[in-house]
Formats: sequence, structure tokens, C-alpha cells
Amino acid sequence: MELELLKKRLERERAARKQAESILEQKAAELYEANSQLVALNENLEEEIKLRSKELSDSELRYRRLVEQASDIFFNIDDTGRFTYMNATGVHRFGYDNEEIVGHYFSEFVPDSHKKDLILHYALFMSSDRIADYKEFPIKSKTGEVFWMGQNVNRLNDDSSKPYFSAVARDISKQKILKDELELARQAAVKAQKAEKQFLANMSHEIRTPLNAIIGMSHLINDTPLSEEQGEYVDILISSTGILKNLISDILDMSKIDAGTLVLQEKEFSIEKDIKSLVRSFLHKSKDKAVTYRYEVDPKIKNEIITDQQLLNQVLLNLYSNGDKFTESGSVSLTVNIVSETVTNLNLLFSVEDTGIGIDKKEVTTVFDEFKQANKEIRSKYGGTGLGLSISKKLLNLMGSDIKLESIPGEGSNFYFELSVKKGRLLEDAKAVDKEADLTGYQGQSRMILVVEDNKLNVKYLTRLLEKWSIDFVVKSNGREAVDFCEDNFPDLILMDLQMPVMDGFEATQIIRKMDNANAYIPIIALTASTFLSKKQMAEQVGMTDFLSKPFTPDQLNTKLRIYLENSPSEVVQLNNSRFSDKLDTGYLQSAYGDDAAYSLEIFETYMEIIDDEISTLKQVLMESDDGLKNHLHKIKPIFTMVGLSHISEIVKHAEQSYSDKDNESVTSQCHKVIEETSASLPIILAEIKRLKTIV
Amino acid sequence: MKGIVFTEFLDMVEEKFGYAMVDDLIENSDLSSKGIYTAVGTYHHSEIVTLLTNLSDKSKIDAETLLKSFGEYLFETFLKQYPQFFAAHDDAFSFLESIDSHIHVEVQKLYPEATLPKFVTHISEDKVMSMIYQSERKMASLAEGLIHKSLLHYNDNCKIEKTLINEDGSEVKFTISRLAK
Repeated sequence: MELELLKKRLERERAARKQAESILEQKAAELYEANSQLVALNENLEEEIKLRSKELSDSELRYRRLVEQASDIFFNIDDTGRFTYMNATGVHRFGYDNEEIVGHYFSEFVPDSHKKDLILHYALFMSSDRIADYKEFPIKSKTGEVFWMGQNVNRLNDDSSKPYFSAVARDISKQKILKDELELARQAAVKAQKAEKQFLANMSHEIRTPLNAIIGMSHLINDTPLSEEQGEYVDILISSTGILKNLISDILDMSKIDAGTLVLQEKEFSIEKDIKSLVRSFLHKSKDKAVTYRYEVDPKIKNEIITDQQLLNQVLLNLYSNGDKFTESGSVSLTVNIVSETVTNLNLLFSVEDTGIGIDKKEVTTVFDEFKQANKEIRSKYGGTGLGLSISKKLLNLMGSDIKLESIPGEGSNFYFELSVKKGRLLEDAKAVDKEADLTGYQGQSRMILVVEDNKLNVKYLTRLLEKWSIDFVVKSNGREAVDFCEDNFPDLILMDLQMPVMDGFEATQIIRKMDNANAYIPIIALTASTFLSKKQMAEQVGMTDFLSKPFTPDQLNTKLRIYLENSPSEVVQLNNSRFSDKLDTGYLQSAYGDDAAYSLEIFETYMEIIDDEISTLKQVLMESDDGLKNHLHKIKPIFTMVGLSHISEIVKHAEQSYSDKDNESVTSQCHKVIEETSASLPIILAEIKRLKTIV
Repeated sequence: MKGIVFTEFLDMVEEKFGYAMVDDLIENSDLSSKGIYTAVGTYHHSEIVTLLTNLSDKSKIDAETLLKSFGEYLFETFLKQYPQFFAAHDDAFSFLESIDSHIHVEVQKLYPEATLPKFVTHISEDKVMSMIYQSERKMASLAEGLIHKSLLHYNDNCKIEKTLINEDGSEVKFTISRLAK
């Protein structure tokens, strides 16, 4: 039994061993297979690693070449400020060997003058939140040569999060020199521009002062008895100096606008009054043209307007003069209409329309260019600088508007623009206030003007005009004298030159304004040849009331006096304008002689000298009844008109007509009528001569 | 089931009851392996159940007690053959924790076809360890024997409580509490 069991056990163990061997054999085969796979896998991996390594080293080489061969300087600096790397370009530029740079402080290569700056700059950079920075520093190379390096520095962190700096830099010495040169050139240009402005200012003053004298003297010569030839020369002299004055003003205006020194200065004024005086000035100017000068202001304008009066007037005067210049017959009209209105603002349409030669369509745009006129023929026929319209356009642009033009050649032109202005006082209120001021200010006082001027020519020009207008005056030749005078005397107005010896007009005005007497409020009008706004602003600041640019015409002075002496000088002017008897044709006389009393007196006296002879001759030829009558009627017809006896000229005209119609009876009766009317009008003519003599 | 379980089981039977009992078990159990086992082989799980049931019948000892004893026997074999797993730990809790997280992971690598029980462990405040046994083999008593011997090996004075979470024994919770030394 025991044996049997043992035998069984042995058999089982043998079976188990065989089973184990077969399992192990199978496992070994599996292992072998797995191993072969592993080897293959390993080979693949090695291949892969080789490939990757090559790619990596290629890419590294590419970047290294990029950095090493770049024309810019690349370097790294650690957090202590020492170079850890610099590319070949940098090493070459610094002039040292690589070992002399890497491991050394950046500050060692910077000249002593900039060491502190460098250390401070990068200390600040490190403590800031910024990660990038640009700064320029001088570098001292091994040869001792100093060059400027502009460097873009980035702050980075290495693997152990320690900060370091990576920089791309370049030698900017050339740019630096160029920049310095440019700065010098810029400063020189600014200086030159200043000098140019100064030159303009000086030229303005230097040219205007003698020109003022020439214009003034020309007017004075014209007031003296002249031969026909001399009169003609003086006319040319006056018109030429006028042209010269306008040309200089235009050029100065243009340079002021271009320099941007023109500042808008708003004023409150009545547009109707303004335009009225502008258009009126033309009535006197054009005697020999059949042109009607008209203006029309929208009656719906109930307020004074607030805008730059001086600039607006300049534009309107330019446009109106322009219309007048190119119109031989017909009319020049200035109209102002409301386009739209708000509570505070008015949008006004200004329009200057003439019946002149007009402008061709293709020339419409060029007329606004500087120094350009419609065409060459226009220039040779009408003259001018070609600046007027250009200045007008620029001034309007400055005021936020723009000029427009519609024109038909041969029929006329219409220049128009819209301008937005603020509303001022109601016109009625303004009038009431003005009247009140007149009453309290000047009532009952004698008119006396203090002229403060050192230039003898100007003094003569001014005083002759004042004498002519019967205005009393006192002349002082500097500010000091004027101040002394004002201590105890009370003129009605002061005309004050700005530049004078001893004490200038600014200082004198300031002292007068502080006086305890009525002179503290007296109107002071500044006189200067400078057209620069800064002078005007200074004048306003020291308390001057108004400003008159030299050279000025009698009309311009008259206008100012009229404004500030209101009732008194306007009476003088009024007297001059309506001095002719109502029984005479004042319209004709006004247009023929204007304010020139001496001239009209001369004509009236000549009339008295010849009229007896002419009437005797008429009586004689009336008897002879041949062509002598016809010729004589024709000869005497204009004589009566010249002294304002237009109605007698009309009778002569009728007589001529009747003569042509062979109506002898009518001729005779009309001739007798002429003789009667002539003797009847003698007292009027004599009274007129007497009156004129008191004025002249 | 891994061959080592069968060879060790029969070794234990021989040691405790003699080879006659081994022969008796093999002869009287219907085993497809004919009782020929080797440690490197793999055999059907039902065979160990048959052998265990038959041993219980013949020895009049209940199966759970036999299984627990087998666990204790198996521990010694493991300790002899795989000392490195035990040397890596200083205390029982740490070792028991490593069974599921480390030892079984390694076994699975070596024998991909093996079906191993799952242990979910939790230690609270170094005093109490809960160890949940999860297996369709329903051999928690074998695990209990192994745990018991492990505690003895590390000289850890502990009390083991066994709670059935699932009636059929496929999920059993062991609560191992450290006692004052």
C-alpha cells in the first residue's frame, strides 16, 4: 500500500515536472520572441534619437550662425551686470578678445562720465515691472575710440528662475551725429524763421512810415491850387502810392495768415452801420463811372453781431473793391441775409454782386490762388497783385467759412459766403446806450484833440487835416510831454503814436489811464505803422481805445473821429457834405468835389469870372440866328452843371433840341429863360462862394 | 488560478494529514487536471473549491477554518519566496496597504491572465485600518489567514473583525484595530 502510494506520487511529480517543462519551454519561446521585438524597438529608438539630435544640432547651428553672423550686436548679461555671452559682431566692435569681455562687468566698457548713469538705469530697470527697455550708452573700445550703442534689453529668467538680460544692440554713432546735425539745422531754421518775421515787422514799420508821409503829402499837395498838368501828376502819384500801400498790406497780411499769428478778435457791432460806411466810401471814389453802389441788410437782423469786425471788413472791402474794379457800368451790391437763426447765433449770407466783366468758368478756381488773376489780359488792363481774393479766402477759412463764386462772363460775378456769428445786444438797446454816453460824455465841451507824434511829416499831415476839419489840436512830440499836458488839460481825444523817444505811447497811455482826472476815460487812438496783431493786443492791454494803421487816408481818420467824437466831428463832416445850398444840385456837386472845398471854390469863382461874358455872347448870337447859337449852347451847357445849376443846363439842352427841330420860337423863349434863371441864381452862387471861403 | 495555490495547498494537506489524504483527495475529486499541478501553471478555480470541500468532508473541519489555515500556511511560503515585498515595510498597516497598490500590480504584470482580489483600504489616525475584500472567488478567509500572519510578522498587536458586506461573501470588510502594547 505504502509502495503503491509512493509510486503514484512519483508519477504525479514526473507528470507535473513535464508539464512545468513544457510551460517553461513555451514561456522561453515567448520570451525570445519578446526579446527580438525589444531589440528591434530599441534599434528604431536609436535611429529616432540620432535623427532628432541632428535636427537639434542643425537648428542650434542655424540660430548660432544667425546670432554670430548678424550685423547687430547680441549679448547676455547676468544679474550682477557681467557679460555671459557676446556674438562675434559685438566682440569685433568692442575690439577686445572674447575672454576679455565675457565675465567682465558691462560698466567696465562705459566711459567714467556714463558709468553711474548706466548702473542706475539698469538698477531701476531690474526693480521695475518692465521686461523690455531701450537705452543708448557710449562704449569705449579697446583702441580708446568711443562709439554710441543703442540697446534693446529683455529681462528673462534662466532655468533656476534667476534673472538675466538678453540684448540686441547696434552702433548708432552715425545716426547720433546725424541727429545732432539735424537738431542744429532745425535750430538754425527756427532762428531764420524768427529773423524773417522780425524782418517783416521791421519792413512793415520802415516802409509804412515814409509811405505814410508820401501819401499824406500827396493829399496835401492836391489841396493846393495846381495847374492841370500838376493835378494829373499828383493823381498818378496818389493812385500809385495807394497801389503800393495796398500791395504791402496784402503781402504782410498774407505772411501773417501763413505764419498763423493772426488771432481772431471778436467785437460787438452793428452790421448795417458797418456796411453802410463801407459802401459810402465808394461813393466818393468813383466819379467817372456810371456805377450805382448799393447795399441791403436783412431787416430781420435785430441784434448787433459778434465776430472779428476787422477781418470781416477786410474781406468785404476786398470783395467790394474787386467788384468795383471790374465794373464799368451798372452796379455793385452788397447784401446780407439771414440763412438761419438760433437763440444765440445767426448764420448770415454775405453776397457781393457786380455787373462787371465776369469770370470764365475755367478761371473760377484760379482767381483764389495767390498772385493769380483770371488771365494776363486782366492783369495788364486792370492791374493789381492777385492777392486780394486769396487773402479773403484765407481770412474766411480762418473764421470757419469759405468763399464761393458764381459768374457769367460779360454779365457779372457774385462772390458769396456764409458766416456764423454770435448775437450781440439788441440794436435798439445799443442805440439807446450810445446816445446816453454821448450826452454825458461830450455835451457842451469844446472839441480838442491831443496829437502825440514825433515824426514831423506825420504831424504836418495830421494837423493839416484837423485844420481843414476845423478841429482844435495840441501837438506833443513824446509820451512824457503828453502826460504832463494831461495833468491839467482835458482834450476830447488823443491820437497817440506808439514808438517815440523819451517815453513811448504804451507807457504814456498807462500813466494817463491811472490819472485821477477825466483823462482816465478819454478815447486814445493808437497810431502805428506796425500791422502786427501783437502790437494791437499790447495797445489794448495798456488801455488804448482803438487803433489806426499808418498810412491812413483822410477818410479813415475821419471815420475814427466820427466814432469817438460822435456829434461834434460828424457835424463837421455833415457840414462839409451838405454845405451846398439846397437850391443847387448837391448830388452832382457831392460826387464832383466831395469834401474838397478848395476845389469847388475855385470852380465857383471861375464861374463868376466867365458867366457875364457867356450870357452877353448868348444874347448876341441869339440875334444872329445862325450856327453860332448852336455852338454856343453846346459850349455853355456843362458850365451850369459844374456849379450845381443843373436845371439851367436842362433848359439849354431843350433849347438845343428845339434848334435841331427848327422850332425857332421855342429856341428864343428857352434862351431867355436861361438868361433869367442865370441872373436869378447869382445870389445863391455868391452865398455859396462866401461859405466855401470860410471853410477853406 | 495560479498553480502555486494548488501546490501549496496539497503541500499543506500532506504536512497536516499525510500523503494518503492527498491521494485520497485527488482520486476522489473529479479534476480535469488529474491533480497534476505545477507552480508555473494556471488551473481552473473550481478545482480548489472541489479539493477544499472534499477535504472538509473527510477531515470534518469546516471549509472556512481550513481556508484560513491555508492562508496562514501560504504566508510563510510568500515570506520565503518574495522577502523583498516584506522588507520594504516597517509595519503591518503599511504592508497591507501595499498589497493592492503595489504587490498585485506587479503580479498582474507577470501574469496578465490572473484574476486577483481587490482590496480597498483606509487608515484612520494610525489606529484603525479598514480593508474591504472584493472577489467573485469568495475566499475572504484565505485573506484573513494572510492578514493574521502579517500582523504577527510585524509584531503588530491587533484585533481583526470580519463583517460580511455581501451575503455571498464576495465583499467582506476587515476592521483591524491596534491594541495597546
